[in-house]
Amino acid sequence: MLIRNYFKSFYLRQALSVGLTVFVSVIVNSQYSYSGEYWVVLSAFMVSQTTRGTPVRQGMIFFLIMIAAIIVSAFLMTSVEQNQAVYLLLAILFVISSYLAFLDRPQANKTFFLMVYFSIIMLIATLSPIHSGQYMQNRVFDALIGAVIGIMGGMIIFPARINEEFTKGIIPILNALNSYSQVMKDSIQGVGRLDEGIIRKKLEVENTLQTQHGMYPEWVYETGFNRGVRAGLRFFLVNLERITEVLFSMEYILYQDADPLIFQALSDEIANVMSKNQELLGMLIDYFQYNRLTDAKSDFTSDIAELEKSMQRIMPTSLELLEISPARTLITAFVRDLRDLRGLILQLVMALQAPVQNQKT
Amino acid sequence: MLNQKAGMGFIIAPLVIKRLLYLILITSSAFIIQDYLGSSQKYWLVWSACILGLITHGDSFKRRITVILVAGLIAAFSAFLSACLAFYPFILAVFLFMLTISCVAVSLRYSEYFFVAFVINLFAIMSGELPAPVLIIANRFLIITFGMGIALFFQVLFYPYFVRNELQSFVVITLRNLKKVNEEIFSCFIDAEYPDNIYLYERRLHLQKNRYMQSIRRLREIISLASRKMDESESGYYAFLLGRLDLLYDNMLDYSQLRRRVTDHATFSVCLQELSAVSNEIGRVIEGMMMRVMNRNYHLDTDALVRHIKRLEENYTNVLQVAAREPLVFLLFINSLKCFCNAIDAYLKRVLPEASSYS
Repeated sequence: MLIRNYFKSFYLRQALSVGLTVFVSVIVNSQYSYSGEYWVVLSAFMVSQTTRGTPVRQGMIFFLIMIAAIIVSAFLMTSVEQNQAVYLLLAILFVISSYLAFLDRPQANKTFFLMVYFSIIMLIATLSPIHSGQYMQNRVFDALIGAVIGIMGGMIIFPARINEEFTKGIIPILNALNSYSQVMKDSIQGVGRLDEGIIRKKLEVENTLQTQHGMYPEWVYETGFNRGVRAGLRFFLVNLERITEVLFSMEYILYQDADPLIFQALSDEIANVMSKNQELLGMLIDYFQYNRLTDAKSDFTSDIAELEKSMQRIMPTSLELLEISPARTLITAFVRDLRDLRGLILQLVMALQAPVQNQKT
Repeated sequence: MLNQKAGMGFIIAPLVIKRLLYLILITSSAFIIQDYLGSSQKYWLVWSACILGLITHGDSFKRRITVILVAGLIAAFSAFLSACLAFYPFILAVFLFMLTISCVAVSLRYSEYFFVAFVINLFAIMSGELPAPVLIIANRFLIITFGMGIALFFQVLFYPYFVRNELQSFVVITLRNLKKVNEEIFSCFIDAEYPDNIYLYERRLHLQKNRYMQSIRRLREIISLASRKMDESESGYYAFLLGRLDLLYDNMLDYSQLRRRVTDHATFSVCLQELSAVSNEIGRVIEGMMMRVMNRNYHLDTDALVRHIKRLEENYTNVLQVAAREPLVFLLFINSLKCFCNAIDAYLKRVLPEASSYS
């Protein structure tokens, strides 16, 4: 059971997959290498450095760039006689690609990253000691063998489990959004001041949305992602982003000069609506974390209607009056955000399918 | 014109020039020195100096040097070990299998160490497939460490004022990304293809928001690092700046809700010019903020932005109130734009000239 749990970890599965790919490629290289160098292993290793979404497509891109670097390097070595001129060209390429990647901080555009990769392979291919015989063709064949091993390894050895990985990536975001919403609700029900806790929770939400610092399943957006599940997973992510935007918008409104008296007068209704939103978020969390679809206990429309009626009672919301009162417009915007948030979360909940039960025969 | 000025200003900023010089010096030194080396393993000098020179992890001096030193030594040692095992393919395969598992697991778990783990793995793989006698392998080990030494030397040389330069750079980068978020938001209103390609536009917006969040996260880290050496007024200025950037971003997300709320995208066609003008003006204002941060004497005000928002408001009063299915959403949008304007004005009142005096 413990071992099975370990093998559920994406990190371990991916590490084992790449490790085994490298292992196989080393054995194959020792027996079948054309060039007598490391290109089989290097190609298998590079081609395995892909994300979960489109490993084959990304692997092919890395392989093609490697081939391009090998061919350009061979051309350089045969057409430029002086070593110093070759060094100068290599240095220029390396400096320019690294510099462009640096300018595009903090996360370099994919193009610049691939340029740096190309320049590193060029450095390796050009300066490598073995340049005898048909070294270019031999390197290309070796790279091809390595790429096949790398791509097959990624597909066969512990392949990515899309649904599981997506679930693992979604849960932290849902939990962070739930906590963020809770803190915002507590702040509204308090004295109307913004709690420092909101800022902390907001940072948590921001961190979960970044792939580098969390498990956010950005690979769902990649070109060439599994067509069978693409639409559903992308729909989910897009709506989740919209929910995040609405919550950030709500926090922003709380910072503005909205009429505090009106806010206080509506605080109970607002808190009620936010509680129901949290109930829905809780359903989503339950579904992804525990694979169970909780039955909805509450009515999810009357509270919004109640809030809007209370708002109309306290402050008329005709367009003419709102145009001359920015403070009241802000409250209208906040209530609108709450309504939109309900709509977005309901869309996600309605899209959930009943979990498949294992049947014993 | 302003966009080009801001771009040029960024390219000739101290940190960016330092980085270019650093890359040129490290690459040229590696190539020149290896040309004079008599060793058969001299090409390792270029590989180790250039590739290890790309490591930029670590904000403090001690941390940066430690990361490069540890990465270089582990890379050299694993290259040495794998070369020693080169004549025993199965044992080499097992060694590389274990090393690869460790490096990949570390890089997945701690993504900031991805490049370090990658370099160690790369050197081990290449060295393992280039068998040689033990003395040559030992020579290879020394040359890799020599290359590491070159990278370290130039890191030390260019490190002074790193935090100050990084601070200014990242304020500009964050503002640049904020400007691009705005462009993506307005493209959802202005481009007629949005309703047919919602996913494509949302993806682009997501990517740009992600870049913004990464840059502001990094900016917070640098400000936290730099605050130890700042006086109270500068510390207060940067705390204010961070709060302002957060507010501007949330404000943008607030007015971006319009793209969802307008069910008939054709409605935007009656206010296309006004929306384009507002979008361009917001971009110009943010570029102006970038110029101010780069300590350029640039007069920045929100008069033009206010005018364009007024024109949009007039369009709303005369046309959208009738043409739009739900005029309220446009009212909320215009109110949000006005708040954006007020937020910029508050920033302009607060901008201090002594942002340049920090050292």
